[in-house]
Amino acid sequence: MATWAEVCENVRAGNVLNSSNDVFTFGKSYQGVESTWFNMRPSNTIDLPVGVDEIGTDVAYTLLDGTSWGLALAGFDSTVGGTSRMRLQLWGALPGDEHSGVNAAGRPVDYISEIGMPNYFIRTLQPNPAAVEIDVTYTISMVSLSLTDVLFPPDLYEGYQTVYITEGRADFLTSPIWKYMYDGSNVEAIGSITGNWFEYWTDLVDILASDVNEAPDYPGSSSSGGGGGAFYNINETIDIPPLPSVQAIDFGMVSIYNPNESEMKAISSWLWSDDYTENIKMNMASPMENILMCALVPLSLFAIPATFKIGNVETQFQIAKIWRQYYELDCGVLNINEFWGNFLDYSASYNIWLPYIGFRSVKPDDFVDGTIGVVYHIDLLTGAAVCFIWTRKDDNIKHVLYTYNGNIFNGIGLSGANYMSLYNQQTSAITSGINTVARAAGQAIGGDFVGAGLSLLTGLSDAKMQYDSAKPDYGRAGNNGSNTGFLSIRYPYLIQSLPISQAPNNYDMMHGSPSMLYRNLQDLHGYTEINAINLDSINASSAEKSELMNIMKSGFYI
Amino acid sequence: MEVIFYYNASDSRYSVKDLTEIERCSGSFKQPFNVLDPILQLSKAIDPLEYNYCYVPDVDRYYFVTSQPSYEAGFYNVSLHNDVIVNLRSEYMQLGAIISRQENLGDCNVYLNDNRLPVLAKQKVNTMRFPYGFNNNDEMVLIVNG
Repeated sequence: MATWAEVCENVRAGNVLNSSNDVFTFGKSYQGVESTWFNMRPSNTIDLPVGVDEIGTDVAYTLLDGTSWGLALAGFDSTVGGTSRMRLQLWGALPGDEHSGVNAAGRPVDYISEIGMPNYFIRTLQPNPAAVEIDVTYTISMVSLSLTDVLFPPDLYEGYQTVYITEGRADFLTSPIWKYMYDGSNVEAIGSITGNWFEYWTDLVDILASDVNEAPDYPGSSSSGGGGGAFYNINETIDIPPLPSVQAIDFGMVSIYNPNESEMKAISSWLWSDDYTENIKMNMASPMENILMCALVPLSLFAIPATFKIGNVETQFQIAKIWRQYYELDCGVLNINEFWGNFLDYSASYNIWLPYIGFRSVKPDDFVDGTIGVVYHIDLLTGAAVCFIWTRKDDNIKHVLYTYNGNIFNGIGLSGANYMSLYNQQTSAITSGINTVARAAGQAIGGDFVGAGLSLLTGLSDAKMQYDSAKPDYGRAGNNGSNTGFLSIRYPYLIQSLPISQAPNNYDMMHGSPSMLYRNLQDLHGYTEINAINLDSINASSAEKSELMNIMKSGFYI
Repeated sequence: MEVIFYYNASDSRYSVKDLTEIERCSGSFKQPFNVLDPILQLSKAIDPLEYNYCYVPDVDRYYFVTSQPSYEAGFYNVSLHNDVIVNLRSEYMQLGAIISRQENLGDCNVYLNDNRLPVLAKQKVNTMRFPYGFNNNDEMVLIVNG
């Protein structure tokens, strides 16, 4: 179905049905001039009355009664919009119907009327023109249909060469009353008034019905709304994700070893021996390029002794090798009970210290009168750490409500450049705080590397931990890890700042506590303040009722 | 009309008063009659500290005695105030209401903010440690090519 805009565009472009059989294609309505009927010929050569716009232009329409021009049709007020009942008549004309004369017989259908000569008629071969009544919604500028039901049965107009639709009180074919258009590109479809025409008509009705011109709301006007709450109870478990199953260390491009002190010394000696350099000098410019990272980690590592291989060179050393890239550290839970048992518990502030991340704020609503837990997921290849803070309350549903990232590596500078990089990172951390260092490292490492598979961590390029998927970026930076985290507290803890209530004795007897419940007064005793009550049924003067209401609201003793 | 004087030992806001009858007298209301604050005309003076409450059976109303007697035209005029809490109790106790505040916690929701509850400016700070954390002893990792 063509959109309204497309239809209008077709009309304005003159894309009307063009049939040698003079198929009635368009009608047009306008206001301010006599209700004059005319057929908008596809050739667009008609001379339009003064003041009447071109084909397809929306204009206003005055529904006249056809007998006394200038008077609004009964039931329609052309000065305001509204709805009314309208009768439509369908007129059919066969080839050969003659139109002649002025004011006596119908004008040729392809002629528009002259101003002041509105009376046209066509002899109809239908003694009783088919008529329907529809509800009409109209404005002062446009008449549109509000019904999209069947208007005219096809058998009433099929076979006719021309079909006209008028407002149905007149005995004459007077002004067509509807502005209607169609998809003018399909000539054959409606070229001979077939059932397709009717479909277009209903399509048009749909278009018009959807294009009712409604008055806009004035700015600032209020309206009612709301009250449609579904009161649903959706609360699903959000659990800590499992550790990744794909490990970069399984792809053979990178390995992690867990040497002890003596093993590390032996490796260091071997690295700078002639034996090593002879073996790998064809591969790398410097043996240091094969060392991607050297760091201390605050974890108990799972490692199995294996032959230490660096670059493409197997050594004589048996060093503990890490076979598990990802680690989970469950820091356990805290059960936080309400201290006051009232709103003060939820007015408290809570901060949580997260190792290698820093202090973070957590909302008491999330875990007070419940449980809070901390779990770290760690990537041993990068040092990236993601901290999950989960909570559980009386609904017994576990939710991960907070995640923060950091880095647990305490990087060890292996060259002068690397050491300076580490130093610069730490001086930056002094001014910006431990959190900044931890976050900077974590952001550079965790998000990009985990799951990258074959990417190689340099850790040696600069303070932001540039990643190089091809060669280590030697000497431009150092591994900073989360060095300051090593100097800090290594277990998480919660800081609770509770407001201290100073309620005097007999506070409830003098003030009561907030209620906002509906109660029968006969079920209460003691100090009571009323929020709302209907005293209409009480047999007392209005002055007494008013006094009573004031006392009830300010507080009294039942 | 009869006027029964009492000594009221209760706070004015109590709907059931602790009354001790003092004396029964004869009096009348000065016209025009004010429903809330009528003036009682007595033939003798009373001490409002002792005769601080009264009941007038003719109108079935309890009143607070709110002024010292003033002598006027042969009568001792005493100002009264309608104790509506007592007088209308039998009727309003049959009603239901939305309660703002109540003495008994069973009819309260203490999770609602209570802006009357005094709170100190300082806070109580507690720290709670999670059971586990990172190792204090570190291990080395060496990440190499190959």
